[in-house]
Amino acid sequence: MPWTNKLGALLFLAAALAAPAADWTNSAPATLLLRNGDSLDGTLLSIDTRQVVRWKHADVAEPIEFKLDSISQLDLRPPAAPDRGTNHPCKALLTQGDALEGSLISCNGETLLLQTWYAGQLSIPRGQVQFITFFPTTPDLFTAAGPEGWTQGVTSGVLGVEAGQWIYRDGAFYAAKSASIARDIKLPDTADLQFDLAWSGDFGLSVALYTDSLQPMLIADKDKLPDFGAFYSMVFRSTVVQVARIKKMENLSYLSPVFIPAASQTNNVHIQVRASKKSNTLALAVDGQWLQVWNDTNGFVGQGTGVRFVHNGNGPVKVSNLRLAPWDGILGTNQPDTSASGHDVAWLADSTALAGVIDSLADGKLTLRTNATGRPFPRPEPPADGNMAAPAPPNQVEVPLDRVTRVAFARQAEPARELPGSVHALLARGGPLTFQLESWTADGLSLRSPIFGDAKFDPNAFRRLVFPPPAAAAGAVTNRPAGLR
Amino acid sequence: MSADRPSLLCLLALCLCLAAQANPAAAADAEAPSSSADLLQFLDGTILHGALKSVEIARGLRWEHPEANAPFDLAPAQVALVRFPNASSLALAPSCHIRFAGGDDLFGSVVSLDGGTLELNTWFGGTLKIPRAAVQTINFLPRNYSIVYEGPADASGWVVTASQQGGAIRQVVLNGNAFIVQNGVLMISESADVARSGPPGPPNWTYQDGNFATAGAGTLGRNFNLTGSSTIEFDLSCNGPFSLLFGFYSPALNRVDMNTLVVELDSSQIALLRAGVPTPNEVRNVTLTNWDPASKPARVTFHCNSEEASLAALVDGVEVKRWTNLGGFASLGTGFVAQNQSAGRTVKLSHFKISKWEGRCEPDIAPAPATNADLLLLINHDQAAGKIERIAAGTLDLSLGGTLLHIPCGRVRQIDFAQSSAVPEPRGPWEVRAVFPGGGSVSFQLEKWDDKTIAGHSALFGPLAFPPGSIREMEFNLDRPRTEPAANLENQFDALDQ
Repeated sequence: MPWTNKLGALLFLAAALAAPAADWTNSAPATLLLRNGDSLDGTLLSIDTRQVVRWKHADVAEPIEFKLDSISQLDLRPPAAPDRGTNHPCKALLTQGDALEGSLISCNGETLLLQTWYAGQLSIPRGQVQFITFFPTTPDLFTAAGPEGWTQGVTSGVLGVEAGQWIYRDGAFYAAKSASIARDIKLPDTADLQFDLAWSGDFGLSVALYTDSLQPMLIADKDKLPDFGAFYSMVFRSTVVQVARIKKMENLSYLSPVFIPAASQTNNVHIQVRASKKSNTLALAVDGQWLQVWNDTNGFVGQGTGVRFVHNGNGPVKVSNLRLAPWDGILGTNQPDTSASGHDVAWLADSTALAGVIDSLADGKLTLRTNATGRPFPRPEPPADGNMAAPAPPNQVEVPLDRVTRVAFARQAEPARELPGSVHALLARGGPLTFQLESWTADGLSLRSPIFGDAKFDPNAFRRLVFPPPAAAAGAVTNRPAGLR
Repeated sequence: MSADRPSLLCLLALCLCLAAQANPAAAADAEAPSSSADLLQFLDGTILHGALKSVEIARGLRWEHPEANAPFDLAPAQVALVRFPNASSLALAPSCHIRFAGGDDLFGSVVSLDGGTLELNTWFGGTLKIPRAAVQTINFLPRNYSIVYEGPADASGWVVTASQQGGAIRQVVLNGNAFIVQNGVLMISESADVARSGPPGPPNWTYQDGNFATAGAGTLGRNFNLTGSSTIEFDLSCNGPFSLLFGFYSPALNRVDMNTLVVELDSSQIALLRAGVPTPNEVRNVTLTNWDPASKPARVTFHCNSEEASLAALVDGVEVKRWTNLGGFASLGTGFVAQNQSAGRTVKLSHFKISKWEGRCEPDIAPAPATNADLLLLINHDQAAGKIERIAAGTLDLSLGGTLLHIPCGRVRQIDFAQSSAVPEPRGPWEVRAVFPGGGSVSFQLEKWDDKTIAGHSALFGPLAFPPGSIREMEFNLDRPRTEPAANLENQFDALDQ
C-alpha cells in the first residue's frame, strides 16, 4: 500500500461526538480467574502461607477460601497512584524486564537506591539496571492529566474496521480500534510536545499538529469539507514516520519519511516533537535521539493550536505522559554517537547527550567521566600483549540531576534469573514485576525478588497478578506470560 | 392456589416415582449427579463450576465449588442460571407443544378446551387446568414425535476426527469456494481464513461446559440413528467469519461424505452441496442476511422431511431456505457430522436437540402475530381465522362467520390464539424458570430446594414440586439482561504496560 494511501486512510471524517474518554479507574471490582475457566468478581482479602486465597464476593456473606493452585490470575482495581512528587521521580527498567517507579535517592557504581510509595526504599544492584528515565518536575505548559477536556470523535469505521474509543487510565490513553481524540492545548509558536508511545504488532497512529479541528477527517475528502485550518499530520506506522501538510484546496505534500530504528527493537518509545513557526521547522526525537529536522520550504502550514490523535484501528496503542514542555526554540541536536556499546549515556533536557562512564547520580547531580573531546570515554580493554596502556585523561562532568532526562547503563551483568514459581505482576501504573509471593494481607504483600530480595509491597501497587501453573510453582521456571513481556 | 386447579405436588411426585420405576438408570442419575458438573452462570456471562447443594430463601444458593475449601451461600442477585448437565432425560411422546403468554412452554397432549380453560396432559403425568387466556399457541406435533437426543452434557458418544489430507486428492470449486476432495470425500476448503491468526482456541472439536468448540479444522460426528424424518437443531456461535459443513444421514462419522445430504453454512450464505440426487455437486445456495452469530448464538434448525423429500433450514426460527425433490433418505446413513472448514476463529455448537417424527408436517413453526381472532393452520397449509369454541374428543369446533366447523384435531397443525395475556407472576429474587429435559419450561416462585425436592408456586400452574435431577436448567432474574462474557478491555493493553 503506498504511503500516501496509508496516510489518507489514517485520517477520518466522522460525526462530532464531544464525549470524554472513558475512565477505567475503579470502574469494577477485582476479578479472580481460576484455571478451570471460572471467574468471580470481588475483593482479595488475603493469601496466606498455607496457599489459601480468601476472596470476598458481594453476594456471599462469608469470605470464600480457594486453593492458590487453582488460581490463574487476579485482576485488581487499585486506586489511583499518588503523585510522583518532585524529588527526582523516575522509572528504572531492569535487565530482565521489570520496571519500578520511584524517587531516586542515589546511584553509584554498585547500587541504585529508589524510594517508593509502595515498598519503601528498594536497593537494586546497578548491574541489573538498563535505564533510568526521569519524569519532568518543572511546570509544563500542558499536561494530560485526565480524559476531561478531550474531544472524542467517532471514526465510523471508514476503513471497514470497527470504531472504538480512546480509553483513559492511570495517565495514559489506550485505543485498540479506530478512534480519535483531540484537544486545543494552545500550542505556542515554538513548541516541545512529548509523549510515550507503546504499541503491539503493526499499528498506525496519526498525530495532527497545530490543528483547529477536534474531529478527524478523511484526507481524500478534505476539499469537500467545511473550512478548517491547515495542519501537519505526523503519521506513525510501525517503524516509519512521515509528515504531511494538510491544507484545504492545496495538493497534499509530504516531508521526507524517517525510519525509527528503535521501533524495530522495542514496542515502547519516547517521542519528542519540536516545532518552530519562525524557522518553519519540525523535528522528531525518539528516545532522546534526534532523527529528523524537517524544514518546510513552503512555510509553516499549521494554523491552529490543537492536537489530535487518530488510531487507524490496527493494533493496540498507548499514549502516555503527554506534555507540552517549555522550550527556548533552539534545536539542540548535536550529539555524540551513542550507538556504540560499552559506555553509559545520559540525555539532558536540552537534548544533548553525554557518553562515558556514569560514576554516580546523587546529591542532585550526575557525575560522568568522558574524554577531552566530548567523545565517549572508552572502557579500558587489555591490549593483545597484555600490557595495559594508560587511558586518555578522563574529564569529569557534573550535571544537575534536574537537567537529566534519561540515563542508559552499559551492560555489566547477565539479567537476573527468575525465581522458581514466580508470580508475574503488573504494577498499577504499568510495568511488570516478577517475584516469589510469600503472602498477601491487608497490611501488605510479602515477596522475594531475584534483584532486590525480600520486600513488602502495598497491595494497591498491583493491577494484575498471574500465577504460575502448579508444576512451575513447584520448582520449574516458566517464561514470562506474553502479555507481560 | 385456585380451588379448581389440582395440586401438582402429588401428581409430580407420583409421576416421578413412576418415571423412576420405569427408568432406574434415570432415577439413579437423579439421586447421584456428578459432584461438580453443575454450571452457574452470572448475568455478565462469567461462570462457576461446582454443584448446587441446596437453596434456602434466607441464605441463598449453597454452592460447592471444586476448588473452594467449603461450600458457600450465594445470593441470587447476579445469577443468570444454573445448568444441570446430568439431568435425567425423560422419554417423551407428546402430541403438542403449548406456548404461554408469560414465556413458559410445555409439551403434552390437549384433553379439552372451552371458553375459559385448557385441560392439558403433561409429561408430569397429570391433567392441568390452565386459563385459556394465558395460552398463546398450540402446535400439534407430527405423528410419533420423539426427542432422541439433547445435549451435549459430555463428549461421550461423539466422534472427533482431525482433518487429514493425503493421497490422491483433487480440488473442486463449489459455490465459489475451493474444496479438497479425497476419494470422493469432501475434506476441507481452501479458505483465505485458514492461515489467519485469531483468538486462541482448541485445535479440534473439544467439549467444555455444554459446548463443542474448535478453532481448527476438524470433524465432529455422532450416530443418532436418523431414519425417516428428523429435525436437527443447535446453537451456533463464532467470533468471526466461519465456514461449516453439515452432513445429515451420514454413513460416516469421521468425515463429510459426499454421498449424503451435505449443507455448507458460512457467515454469509447457506448452500446444499450434495443431496443424494443425480446431479452431484449441484449448488443451490441462498444468501443470509442479518446473520451475526458473533453477537449471540444463532439457533440453527434443519428439518429433514422424508415424506416430502425436502430439507428446510431455519435460523432463529425463520426459514431461510427449503430444498425439495431430494429423493428419499432411506439409502443414506444414520449419522450427523459437522466439519469446521477454516482455522483461526472459534466456532461453538451447543444445545443440540434431535427429534424424529413421521408425516408431512414438521414440528414447531413460528407463532403468527396475535390478532383478535384465533388462527388455525391446517396440515394442508390452509388457514382459517375465527373463534375456537371448543376442543373435545379429538374434534375442534371453529366458529367462522356464523358457521360452526367441526375439524378433526388430526388435521390441525397449529393454533395461534387471539391476543393472550400472561397470568402475572410476582417478581422477586426467587422467581425462577425451570427448563426441563426434552423441552418445556415453567416459571414459578422458588420456595425450597434440597436434596429431595424442588418446591415452589406458579401463578399459572399452582403449587409445583420436582425432584432434583428433573431440571436441566434453572434461570434466575428473568427480566434482567444477560450478556456474554465481556472482552476484558485491559487484557489487550497488557503488552503496552511496561
